[in-house]
Amino acid sequence: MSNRALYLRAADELRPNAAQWEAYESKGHCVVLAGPGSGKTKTLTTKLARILYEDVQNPRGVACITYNNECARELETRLGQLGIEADERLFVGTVHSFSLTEIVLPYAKTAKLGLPDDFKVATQRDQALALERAHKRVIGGPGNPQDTKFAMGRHRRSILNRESEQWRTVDPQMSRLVVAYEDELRKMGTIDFDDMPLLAVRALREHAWLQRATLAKFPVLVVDEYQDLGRALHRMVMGLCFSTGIRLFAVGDVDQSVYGFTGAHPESLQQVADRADVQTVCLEFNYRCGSNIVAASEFALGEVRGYQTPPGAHEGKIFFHALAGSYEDQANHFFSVVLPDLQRRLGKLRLGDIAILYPAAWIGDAVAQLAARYGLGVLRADANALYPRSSRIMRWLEDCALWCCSGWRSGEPDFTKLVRDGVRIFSEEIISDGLKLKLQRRLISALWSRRTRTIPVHDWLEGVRDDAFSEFLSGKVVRDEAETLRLFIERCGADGDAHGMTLEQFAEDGEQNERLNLSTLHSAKGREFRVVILFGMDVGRLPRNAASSNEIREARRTFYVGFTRPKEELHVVYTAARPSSFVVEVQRRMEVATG
Amino acid sequence: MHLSRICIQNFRTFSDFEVKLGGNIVVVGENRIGKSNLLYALRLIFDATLPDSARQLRLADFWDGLGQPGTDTNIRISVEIKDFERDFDVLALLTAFRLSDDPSTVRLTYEFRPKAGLTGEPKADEDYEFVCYGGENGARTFGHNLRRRLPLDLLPALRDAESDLANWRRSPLRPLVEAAFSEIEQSDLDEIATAIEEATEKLAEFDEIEGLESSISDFLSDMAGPKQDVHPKLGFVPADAVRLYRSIQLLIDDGKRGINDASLGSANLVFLTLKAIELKALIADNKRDHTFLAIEEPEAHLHPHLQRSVYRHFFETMFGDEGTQTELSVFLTTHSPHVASVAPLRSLLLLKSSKDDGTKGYSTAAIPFSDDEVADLARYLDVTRAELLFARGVILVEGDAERFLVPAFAANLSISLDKLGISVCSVSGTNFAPYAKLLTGLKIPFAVITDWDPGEDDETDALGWNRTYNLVSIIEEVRTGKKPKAVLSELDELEDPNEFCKRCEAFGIFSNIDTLEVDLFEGDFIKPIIRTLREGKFGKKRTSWIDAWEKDPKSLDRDHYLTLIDAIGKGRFAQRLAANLGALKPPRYIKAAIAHVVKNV
Repeated sequence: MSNRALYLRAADELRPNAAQWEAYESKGHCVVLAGPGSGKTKTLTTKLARILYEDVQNPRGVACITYNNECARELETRLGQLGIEADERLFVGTVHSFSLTEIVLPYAKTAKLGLPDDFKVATQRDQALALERAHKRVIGGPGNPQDTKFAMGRHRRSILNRESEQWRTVDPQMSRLVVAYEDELRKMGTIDFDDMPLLAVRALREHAWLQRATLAKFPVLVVDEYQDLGRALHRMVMGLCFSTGIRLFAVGDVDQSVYGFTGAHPESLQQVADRADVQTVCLEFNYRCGSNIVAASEFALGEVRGYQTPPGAHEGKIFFHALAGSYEDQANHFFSVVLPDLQRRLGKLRLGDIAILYPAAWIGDAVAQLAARYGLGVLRADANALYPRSSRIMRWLEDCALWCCSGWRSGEPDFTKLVRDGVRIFSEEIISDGLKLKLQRRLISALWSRRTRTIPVHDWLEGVRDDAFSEFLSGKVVRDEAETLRLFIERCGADGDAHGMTLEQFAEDGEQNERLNLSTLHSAKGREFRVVILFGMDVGRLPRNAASSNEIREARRTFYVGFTRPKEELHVVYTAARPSSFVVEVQRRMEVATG
Repeated sequence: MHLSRICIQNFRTFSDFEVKLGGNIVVVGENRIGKSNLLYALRLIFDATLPDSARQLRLADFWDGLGQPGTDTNIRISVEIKDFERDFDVLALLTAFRLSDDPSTVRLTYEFRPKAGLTGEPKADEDYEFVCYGGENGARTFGHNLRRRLPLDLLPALRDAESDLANWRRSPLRPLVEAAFSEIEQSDLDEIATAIEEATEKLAEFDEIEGLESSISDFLSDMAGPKQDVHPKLGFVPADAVRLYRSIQLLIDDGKRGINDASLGSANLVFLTLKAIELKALIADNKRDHTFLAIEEPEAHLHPHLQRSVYRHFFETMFGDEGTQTELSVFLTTHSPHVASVAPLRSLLLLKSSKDDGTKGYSTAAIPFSDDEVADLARYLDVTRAELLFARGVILVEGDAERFLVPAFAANLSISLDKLGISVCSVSGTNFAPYAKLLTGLKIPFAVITDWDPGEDDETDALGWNRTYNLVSIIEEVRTGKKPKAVLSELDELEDPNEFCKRCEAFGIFSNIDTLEVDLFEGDFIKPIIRTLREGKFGKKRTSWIDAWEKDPKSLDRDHYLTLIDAIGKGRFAQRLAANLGALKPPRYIKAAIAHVVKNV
């Protein structure tokens, strides 16, 4: 089947949904407002395929920007099913990697960004050191410099124009700290992640030729999760799309904006959607959650949205568990009472179908501890995870591990895909076909000789790294990933907390290696599970104590995000004595609704 | 887009070659100077049909003067491109390759270098690898994706146009005919097929034909048995409507003769025409964003007059308005003065060998000509068959008088200008500036011989003063790229005309005291001049002037003297004088001018 047939068939699936079809047929700027489970990814990927086939001719292409590497991975998988691979005509990635690979790396010198020659991406350690030095210069005194990290980051990401009145007056000391911090990074020959979009915005603002070059390469810009992408991306979109002439296709949901602390604001999406030159489409159906959950989600959000479930959708169930005791006690109750009940009631329920979502990583520690006591594996997606889920190298190694366990026999994942992904991760070093071939040869021999499911992942990782790709780890961008890998290898070593993990556990291959999903509410955004447990929905946790009105609104949206993750069952667990006000309201309004 | 610069290091005839360009290029140079190597260098970067095995050069491709290349020696070929921002497709391909100090220029580089990680000195071909990258950082490589959008098509020298035209698969006619036929309705073609079939049947009605057919058929089946019978038939063309177009050929002389009967030259012409049409179609189809068309020595087999008229037309249509045409860049190499003489002036690239640093290139693109100067020079090169461009040295003179006399004087100094490749060129007046710019820009050694033309009153009034001053300024400006302030203020200081002239001789400008003829009328020259004047067979009054001057040379009346010469004709006078010279040596300034050029060729 030709690639064209693949997306045309996908388009046929959009046709019955008027709004999805309208988005698919759009010709100019288009914003799709897409609630939970509305099929936004399907709409976006199908439309993107159409644009690549029908609207944009080689050698020009499309840039598709999304919130994080995990979302990018998901988009690439879905595009792959439409027969489309990311290549020089199609960029799929975060705003950071777009800024870095499309603007900062190619044009740092030409655009006079003032970066040191041969700059590198700062590791966590570099960043901490730069902050410490900057703090000493600007603030001094006994305080812990790292305590200012969060506020400095927010300040830096919120006010983009350093020439502005705002920058001078809102918090002059913080502005000075930002400048000193960046200066320290430069002295070390580095830029950090926040620098990437900031530098890109600056370069684009200062150079008309760069705007035109971006238009030439990417006449269409596709943005996923617009509401979470921050001011820098918004600034780029406003300039590139509404002044330079790039066509915008953006998807997002104001209600799921939960990253205010990174400088993202729900208003920016609304601002674009309200423009007269933008066609705005609202997707109305929720294909994910049961009808009861969809109805109750409006109570969770506190706004009427009118989302519908398609005819014939299942009902969905909502349970509230008012528990007593510590979070360990509550987790114990879940594992001893709720989980066995779920497994009995729901057919073929696998651990991977269940997610426990909580407001903060430390609450996850309690759950993880109990899970271990019950002998259950967990897959954490929070700050205390074994490694960040967004690490490209780790996700690639997971795939490689899966290939060693069973993929070499089943063809899933495909080895050529492993090579292609590897080449992209190490793209700074792999600059010729010869080197590509070298990686391919080394990878196949390294993996082929390590197809033992039960070997310790520690040995497997060290072996594969040394045999296949260690020489490619010194690139200026990949060095941060190399650090992530090093830390994880350490943790699976003899003295580490993950000692004894086997290859098949790492690869999560086979039913016995299924793991329960543990995640913060934030990290669960964009994902879906058959059963979701909202854990720790208590006063002081969601929203936090002494939250501002803005923070309360964002906490409520976070609650809503968690609320709309399940397909079949939602369990809300809270401490009986101090339920979150959001829980109380939902319960009250559900009672009213059902009479 | 257009090429703005080419740099080549250590490749074949090039040691360290750098030239600025303005787009289309007509490469002019003697045989074996490296014209084809220059084209090959460009193919290494742009030619999509060149396989990687050909891109992998050999040790023998290093510059000859190098000996054994060491660890740090690479072959490097870079081109710079400007004006790439207009077309979005081109911009998308090239944007990431900008120079760090100049966003309006991109650079593409081919490099042949010792393999990474090689221990010790590279010794064999296998110790080398090639890489093609854009920008200044070797990490951004490019390959087929770029080449197929910006390809280079080569029409090689001495191509066998005739056999290419005869071979359907290779024929440049094929894509054109195929495209034309795809527009024709099938039913209309069927009609033709039927007509051909009918004609074939008629053919078979002749007994002679039928007899031949059956004897072939019988012999075949006897020889190979009935199972191998291929059913031979005699016909004009296979009457299959779908294949009909393959039988189309280009006919000449109103369809009376096939191209095989044409002269070699006409076949070449046809070939070039078809290629050009095919290229235009490819560009129009958006199959490619820019084409470099390289034509090697297109003069082959063409009569000089045809060369001039064909290429005059070719340059006019293919080069269009110089500098504005962005979809096609033409590189043409030639050693034919006839082609060079009609080439657009701003596209000339002259290749010359240096003593021990390989072939060097000098182009007209970087010379700051005014449009009038371009028109002047183009006309001059046209009528003189580009003699200037092929000279090793040039003596620029004001008119025919000097043009006849200077070679005669040189011969009397035992110098053969012809053997040295030195041309004496008349600018027919005193407007030396465009010629001086051209020759300085092309680094062709030259001298200017000009009259001082004193004014009525005093020394400072002389026309020669300003003329010489301005020429020095122009020459130095073209040579160094900036106004020669120091030199000019030095000249400003000089008040004595002799000192002034002496100083200007260092810049190749040689003046007399008055005008050539007046200056010559002195010493040993008086005799031959008087004889030459007498050959004018003037009337009584004028002959009496001549008599008086012969008796007392000091009595020479300048105005009368020049009137007589004008009456004879300056050129005619000089020609006759040259014949009457005998072994006389030239005046000092002419001798110095000749010596200046001889020393530098």
